[in-house]
Amino acid sequence: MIRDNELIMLILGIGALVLTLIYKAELKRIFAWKNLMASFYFLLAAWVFTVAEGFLLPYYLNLAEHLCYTASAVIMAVWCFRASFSHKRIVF
Amino acid sequence: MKGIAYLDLVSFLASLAGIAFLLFTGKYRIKTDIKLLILSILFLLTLYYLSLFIEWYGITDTLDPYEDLIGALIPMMWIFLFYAFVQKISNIDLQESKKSLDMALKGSRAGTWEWNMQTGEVIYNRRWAEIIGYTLEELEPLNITILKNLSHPEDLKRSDELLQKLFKGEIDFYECEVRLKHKNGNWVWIMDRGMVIEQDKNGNPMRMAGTHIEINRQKQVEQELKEQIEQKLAINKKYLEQNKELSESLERIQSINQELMKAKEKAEESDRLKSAFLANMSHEIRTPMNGILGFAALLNKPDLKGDKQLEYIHLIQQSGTRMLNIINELIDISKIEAGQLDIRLENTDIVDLLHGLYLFYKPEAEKRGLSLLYSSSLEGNENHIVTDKTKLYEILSNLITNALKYTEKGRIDFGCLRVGDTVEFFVRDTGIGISPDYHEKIFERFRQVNIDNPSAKEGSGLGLTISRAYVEKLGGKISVRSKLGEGSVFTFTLPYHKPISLKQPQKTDPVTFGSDFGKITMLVADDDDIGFLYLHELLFLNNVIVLRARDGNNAVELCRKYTEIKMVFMDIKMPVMNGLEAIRQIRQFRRDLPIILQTAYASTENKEEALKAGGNEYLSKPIRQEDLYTVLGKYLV
Repeated sequence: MIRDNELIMLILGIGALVLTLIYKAELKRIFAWKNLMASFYFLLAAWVFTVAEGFLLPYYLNLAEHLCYTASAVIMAVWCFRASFSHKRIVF
Repeated sequence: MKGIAYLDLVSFLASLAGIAFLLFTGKYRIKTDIKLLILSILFLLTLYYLSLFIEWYGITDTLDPYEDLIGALIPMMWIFLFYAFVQKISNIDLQESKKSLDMALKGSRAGTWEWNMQTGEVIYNRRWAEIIGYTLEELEPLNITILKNLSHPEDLKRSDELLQKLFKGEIDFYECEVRLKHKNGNWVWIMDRGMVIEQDKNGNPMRMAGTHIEINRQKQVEQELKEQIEQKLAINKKYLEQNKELSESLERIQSINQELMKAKEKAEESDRLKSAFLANMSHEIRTPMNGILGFAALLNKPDLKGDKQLEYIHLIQQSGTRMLNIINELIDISKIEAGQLDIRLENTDIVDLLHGLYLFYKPEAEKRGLSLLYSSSLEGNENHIVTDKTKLYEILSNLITNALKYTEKGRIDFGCLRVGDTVEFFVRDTGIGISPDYHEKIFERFRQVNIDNPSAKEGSGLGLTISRAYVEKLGGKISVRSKLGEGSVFTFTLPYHKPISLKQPQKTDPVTFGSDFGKITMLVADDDDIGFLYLHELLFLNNVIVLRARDGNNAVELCRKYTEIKMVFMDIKMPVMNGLEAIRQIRQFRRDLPIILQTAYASTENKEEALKAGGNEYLSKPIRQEDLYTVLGKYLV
């Protein structure tokens, strides 16, 4: 069963993905941009899994969803740590 | 399901840590707007993960509505974050670009202007005003009129023309060197560049922007360069002229060198020819001398018979004649070389002259088995022309002699014909011919074809040189047409000068050997015994009493003493008193006494000088019997 809010999250997330692809050149100039993007992509993957679990493998996809949340949160925390303690500018 | 709940707890704690890092640690390098967006995302994620933990841990089940709201906000916040980043980056780029532009403008020391063409207002930067020594405040109100007022009138016209072209789209950029009046009154050279930056919907220009760069220094350098180039061009021109002069000098030197080389070659050739000529002359003189001395010695033989005697005498005479010819040629060539060739023009009967030549050379031609013919197209009085008869005779003699020498069989014909205002003489033979290479050379002195060759024919090699000199002196030209083995044709022209009177010279009856003059007395003045003896024998045989004087003084005394002396033969070169002086003295008391000069001086000048001194006739040695008898006949018969 698909929940509306999960679908909205996914659609908005895909919108954000499109934005990152369009402005990839500019976003590359963000400090540790791969780190930040990885956090976002894990989050997006979690949204994909939460929609997908309505159709198949609900247990595993649910588990994958939450693992992705955790990975995204940890990576984001790392990015924040690096950004806070780096001497480099956040945007080059 | 508590496992998932713990995962959410980790996520919650990680997000919380992220917030803590951003809020409480680091150097706050993140800009506020970006930081707020990240904090917002982290805050939403914290709430989201917390609600998930609560749900999955089973604390409560009623958080779904909040969870849905937060879940929808999270991707939206990411979108905002990315957009904010892009904006930030664009702003940074823009700022950096502007900064670079400002630095570039500052570095280039360029003044800028932006002209609103609708209002006429112009925005100038401070540097623009500084270039012309003002501040912007001093120039207010800032409009296009300031620029026009400060511009040089000549440049303004040019600038307007360029602007019109720009507005019409004929050029993309406006660029013009103009002069602006500086505050101190001097003109400042400006490089004015610009372009239309805004147009209306019809394409009419609305705004223009551009720069002013001071180019005084460049202009100064340009002027200096121009002056240097002009100086260098002037120097270059001078060098070119000098170079041209040098080239001309070089050409002249080369030309002189070539002439010198030619002269050297000619001198070498001349030297070689002279050597060959001397060798040839030695041969040509020794050969008749051999005949003369050899046969004269043979005549001494007591048992010599009459026929042999006559033969030897004939051969001695022949050799003598040959040697005399050589001597005459040498004298002629020396006169030609000295430019002392004299011409004695007289009425000449050409046909008579040709006939005389025919008679003279006929025996020789017959002896060689050749046919000798002569012809003339001149009729009636036409055969009389005014020319130097002696020279004409010698020219034809030389050519006929050559023809006889070089023709072994066939014929020789000579003659003349009238060609316009000239008479053309020719001597044609069927002899060995002459190679075209030698057609000019044979007329050069000392030149015989193959003169170096011992087998060359007898002769001095001067005949054709003398002939050419004579022909040219007489106003004509000589040439040859010939091919090897096909014979030769020598032709020369003489101007046809008709004689004024055709009166023939009076002919005297010549006396002959053995004529009796009736015991008359004659004086022979000659210091040379052989010369005296020769004349004595000739005169004694004609029953003449011969007196002898050994010098001029003696001759004068004898003439004074013996009034019966009827004729004097006077040598010119004598000791004590020469013949000419003796004649002058004799003429003082014997005006009518025939005095005949007999001398080895054979030139025309000698002859004229002798006659001028008072001599009646002139006989050059060797004296021919015929000439002597002619003179005797003239004065005694």
